[in-house]
Amino acid sequence: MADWARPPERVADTWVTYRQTPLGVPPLYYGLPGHPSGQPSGRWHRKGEGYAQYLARSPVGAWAELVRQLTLRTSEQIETVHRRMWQVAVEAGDIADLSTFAKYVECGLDPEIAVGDHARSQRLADDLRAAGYRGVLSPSAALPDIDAPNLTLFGPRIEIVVDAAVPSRRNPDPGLWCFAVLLADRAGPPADLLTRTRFLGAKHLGLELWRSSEADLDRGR
Amino acid sequence: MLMTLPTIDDQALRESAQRFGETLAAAVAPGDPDGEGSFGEVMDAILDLTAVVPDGIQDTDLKHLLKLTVEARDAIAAGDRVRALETNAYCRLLLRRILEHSAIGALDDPTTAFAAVEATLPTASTKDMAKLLGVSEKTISTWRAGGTIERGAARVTTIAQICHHLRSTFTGTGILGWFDTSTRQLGKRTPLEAISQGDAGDVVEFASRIHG
Repeated sequence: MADWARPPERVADTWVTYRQTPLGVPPLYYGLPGHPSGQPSGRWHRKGEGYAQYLARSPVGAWAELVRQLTLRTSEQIETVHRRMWQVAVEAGDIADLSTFAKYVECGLDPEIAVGDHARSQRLADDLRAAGYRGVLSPSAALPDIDAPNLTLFGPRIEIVVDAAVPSRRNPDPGLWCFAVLLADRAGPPADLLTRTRFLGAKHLGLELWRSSEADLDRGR
Repeated sequence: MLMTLPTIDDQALRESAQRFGETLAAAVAPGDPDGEGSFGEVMDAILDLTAVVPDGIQDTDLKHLLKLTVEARDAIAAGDRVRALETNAYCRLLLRRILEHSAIGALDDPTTAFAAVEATLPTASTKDMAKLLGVSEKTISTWRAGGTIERGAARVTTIAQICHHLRSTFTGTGILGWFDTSTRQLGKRTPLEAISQGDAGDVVEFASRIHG
């Protein structure tokens, strides 16, 4: 029995997304059939329980995830980073639209799930998978001031590396394959993320702002 | 458990893996009219690869790679391009795993590990190296001169593994800084502090998560 009062809206679309990876590492997670997943745990999955593809909707969103993960606090630290930046084209349906804190509340869910402790979002992901969702749109935990929510896809995906973002070739199976473009092979985050990124343990200013605006609305009613 | 690899020609392995990967990718490329015809090159490439894979690499990975290569050939022969593409993707995964196991396994040897740390951190001073490896500057000089690494060997291999994971994200300067930066993931300790307190395994795990 899922925790929501009503299920999230299902959306289908084509998204242009971004992901940064270590040098030499491809953008998407998949494994040999029948073999356990070695992907480290993340917000929407636990290690050993399949795969999840964590995609940002802008390059700066992807970089913010790294700045947060590595706790990069100074411009000197940022200058010592070199990672790959990928653009990944996603065609997908049955994506849970929890793209704003308001949508969490509309479904009877605590919006803190979006940006808080992973255990709660992992449980929500269990419910979403069980209900047949193939992914989720949700606010970025790392970059509170960005409008574009992150897109997470459940399950394995395999990249087809191409030179152009919109290749002329047809995707053989969008449920498994994604076209990916390597945008940069040795790149680093922009320095303004030092002040924009929400570091581990910090409050999420986007959520705080949303809560205060809701409170203002309540007072005005 | 990875085994120590007594002899390893990393360059030959990487070149063979790359050749195999490229020939297979070309053979299964969508719209490649010569896919089936070029499969002879793929089989030659995998045989070359088999010849240079060092002892100690898990046989199952290599056998699996051979099996998948044959499946790719059969898929192309049957006109099933999607299956061929998928098989190629699994081969890429196995190649990465073989190379990674080979590289990490080689670091079980302290002399190889020390050389790898030196190569990864070209700007590190003798003082930096001594601090990182938990020995005196004199010992570092001895090791550089070819002295046998006995005392402190476990720390050398651990640091080499961590550097291996980090070098795909940080420059040498960045790696040195990482060891001295406290982090919540290690209980607000620096990686060097955690290693000194007996938690080297946690640091290796933390570094491997950065590698993805």
